[in-house]
Amino acid sequence: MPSSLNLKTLHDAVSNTACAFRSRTRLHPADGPGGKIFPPTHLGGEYAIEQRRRTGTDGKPEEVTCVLVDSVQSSANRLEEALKLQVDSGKLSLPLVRVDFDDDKLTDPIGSLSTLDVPHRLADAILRDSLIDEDGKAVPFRKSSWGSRLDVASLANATPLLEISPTSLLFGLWDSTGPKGGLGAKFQRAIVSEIVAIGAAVGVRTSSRIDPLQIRSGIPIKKGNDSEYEVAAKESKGTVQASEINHGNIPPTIDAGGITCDYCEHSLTLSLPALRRLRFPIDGQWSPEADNAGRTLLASIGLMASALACEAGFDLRSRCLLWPEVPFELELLDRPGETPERFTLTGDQGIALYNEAVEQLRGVGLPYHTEPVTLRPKDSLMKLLVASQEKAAAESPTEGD
Amino acid sequence: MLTIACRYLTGRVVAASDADREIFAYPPQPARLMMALTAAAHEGHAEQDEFKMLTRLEAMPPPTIDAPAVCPREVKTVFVPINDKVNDPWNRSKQPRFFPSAHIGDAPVRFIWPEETLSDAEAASLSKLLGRVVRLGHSSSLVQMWLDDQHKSSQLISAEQAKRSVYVPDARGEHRFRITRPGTIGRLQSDFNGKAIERYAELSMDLEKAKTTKQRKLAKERQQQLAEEFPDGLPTSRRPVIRTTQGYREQVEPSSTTIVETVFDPAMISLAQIEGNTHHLLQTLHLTRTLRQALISHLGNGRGEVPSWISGHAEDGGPTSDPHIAFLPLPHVGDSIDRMPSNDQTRRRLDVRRTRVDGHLLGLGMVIPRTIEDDRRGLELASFLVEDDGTPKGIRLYGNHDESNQNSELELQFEDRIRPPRAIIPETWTRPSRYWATVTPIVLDRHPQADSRRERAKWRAEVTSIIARACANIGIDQQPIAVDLGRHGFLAGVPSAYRSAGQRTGSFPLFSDVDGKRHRMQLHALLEFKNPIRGPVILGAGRFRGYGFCKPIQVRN
Repeated sequence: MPSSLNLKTLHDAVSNTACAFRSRTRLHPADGPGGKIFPPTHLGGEYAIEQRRRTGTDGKPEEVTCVLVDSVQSSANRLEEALKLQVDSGKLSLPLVRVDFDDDKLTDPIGSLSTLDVPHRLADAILRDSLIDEDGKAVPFRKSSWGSRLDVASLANATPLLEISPTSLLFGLWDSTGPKGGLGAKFQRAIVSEIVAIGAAVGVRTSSRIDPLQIRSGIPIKKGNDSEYEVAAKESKGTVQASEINHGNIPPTIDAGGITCDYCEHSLTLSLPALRRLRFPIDGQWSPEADNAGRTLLASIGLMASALACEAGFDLRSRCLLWPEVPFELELLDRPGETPERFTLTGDQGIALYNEAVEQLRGVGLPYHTEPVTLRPKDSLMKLLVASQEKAAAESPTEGD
Repeated sequence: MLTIACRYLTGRVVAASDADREIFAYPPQPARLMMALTAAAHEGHAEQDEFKMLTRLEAMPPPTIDAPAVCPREVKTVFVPINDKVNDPWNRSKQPRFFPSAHIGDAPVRFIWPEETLSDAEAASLSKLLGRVVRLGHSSSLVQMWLDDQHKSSQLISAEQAKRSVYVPDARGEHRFRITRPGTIGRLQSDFNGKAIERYAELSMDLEKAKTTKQRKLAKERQQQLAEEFPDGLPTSRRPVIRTTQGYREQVEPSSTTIVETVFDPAMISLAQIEGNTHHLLQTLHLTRTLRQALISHLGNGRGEVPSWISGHAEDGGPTSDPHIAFLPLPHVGDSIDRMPSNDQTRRRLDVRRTRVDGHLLGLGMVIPRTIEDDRRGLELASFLVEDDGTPKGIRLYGNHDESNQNSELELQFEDRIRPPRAIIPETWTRPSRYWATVTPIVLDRHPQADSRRERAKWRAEVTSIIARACANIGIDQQPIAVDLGRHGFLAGVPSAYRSAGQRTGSFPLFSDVDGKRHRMQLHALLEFKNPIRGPVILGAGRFRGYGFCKPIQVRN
């Protein structure tokens, strides 16, 4: 019977020889086993497919078709999103750097973006191109006391980043555009998660449109300004069909689309050696207590995010909502050949575990800044953004166009 | 015996070939293991004894690799947001990337040094180092490594043997794996030059800060330090690369599937085109003829005597019956076909990645019969391919390379790049496969007697037997279990085998027209064998001039 994961077990696992926390959960479509789901498509509208071997029900080896449903990169974003939901609802205090956009100037309001939203986390160009008020002056983020930490951060000195963006250390970061170029601070992801559909069969998708007005094709139409048009006397250069102004039937088509599968497998691995590479000196002095407290905190964030994401279900994209078959459960892999210990963890327990880890961290003297660091975009970034949105609006087809 | 075991924690291997980021690389090569251990030592703050173990390991002979079978995922293009250009945060520029990977499950890969043993202290040091390794391959390819002292060689032949492959070092093996040798780790560190880059960045940032805060004395001091320590400015960092390779052979158990080999050596010599207009598969005969003439003329100028394994002529001037050197086109063509489930005659000609494949040539190849010893090859070919200092030589071909009767020039070079295009990599053409499709048409050794229109079944049977004979001629002693014939190419980018009435372009010229031989039938074929064949597979009367060249392919049912 699996026990509930507590801080002591987590701390011991991180401090000793254990290799990883791992979870493998079966998921089913929200409309029940056998329901149709739509995996992500790649270039050319194709699914990422592989053939796996497994032992069939008759004991003989068989090949099954498997389809990628959620990639490693997308899963990491999903874990960050699960944390963001809790931060936004006030249930979780997590260090964040945030850029607040002036939505009055924008066609498409953005609100604010934090290190849990932007693709390159603390090293993202959006943060680089933003300002922070320090000592009464607006300072570019990377030159500020907070942003310049990236210049000195390394595996041997991860303390500056732990204080303002622990998720960057956990999910990975590469400061490729800083003063050291390609050799800037680089932190490998410590958590890897993926969802694959097992025993999949690719289905078909139909599309068609019945026009209630039953407008026939072959009528020449001349387009005017502001969605206006008129029926032309005869076909000539510049006249279009009714379908181009969104009228008329669209004949049915059948394309490859969607899959059904035996089940989906969500696998998640938190590597402890990856966390052990990080050291957390205090005033330049390393100590095993501080190192282990820092690593335990990062592990707690990873596991908390995993439990929260699992409880929220996996609403991956349109027509692809998955639901776990069982509650979130973890196994702790230690020495090869040993039977892994099993643990349960709910979202609330994950948050409590994290809060305890924060207390422990502060207890050893490591700094942890849970108030968000707020930035505002530089004028140049705002102008670029406004121009980009205006261009996008001009290029996108308007209704009836 | 020393054994390092490696388990992929996510049940998945993510690793790209160093030659092509789109190709999945497996099994993990010894050099990849050593680079992972070096990274673990540096990033994991290893102790001195662990660094000492690294030096010990790099000097060991190449290990045997015992690798479980994997199930690769189709490689798809993934677009990732880049960080150096920002416009709309919701609509950022994206660049194509590839993450080739395969499912492996929980079975470990083992690196085995049968003749090596470690003292207890050394074993403890290595265990510590292995415990620091985070990944082998891509950052999502998380692993657990350990010193597998329980593992014995007899365990290799286990119940799971059929699902595992064992690769043993063999200079003449069909695989080339990257390995380390004494000094490799030191060179990796000096290429990376991490400490110098760190130091330079530190001084530059201090200088910048001193200038901003107007601390003139400190700024001057840092300026001086930079000038003294780095007189050439920013120190350079090279991507650590290991070029040393070792031949590996896949150990075949007597009970398992046998791989059949041909008379041609899989160690193909690739010559990449570096200058000149783009050429196409259709120009195969013209180009191989010029390359052959260039080689013979080079050898003739030197000594006036060309060995028969190169000229193809016996001492009396007549054609030799022994296998001799073959000249080949290296084109960009498809590598798989789909066979629709309910209609086994219907195929869609699609490239697996749906990339544009048009049959243009990336270079030419030379294939040598296995019977020719290494010394003889080196003696005759070295001066044609490389300069005295070992750098590749430019090989200029000048002549009539198409049917326009106009001369053109191109330059080839012996391929030694770290990441050559896929068409230039020998394994593209030589990997063991049960399915082979022609890239250039097979020229039948004799004309079939049956009429191809009136006696279709009889004609097919006769042509099939002629092709089976052609297989036997290159050492394939098993009959193909299925032969599919056609005028049109089976792979994307391969033109028709011959010209139909009224057709002016887009088909291969007849072998007889270009090479002055008597008229023979030429056509495309798709061959299926019971056991895998290791290439190169070159069939029929045009095999030494680049016709009848086949590619190992995937057939998806």
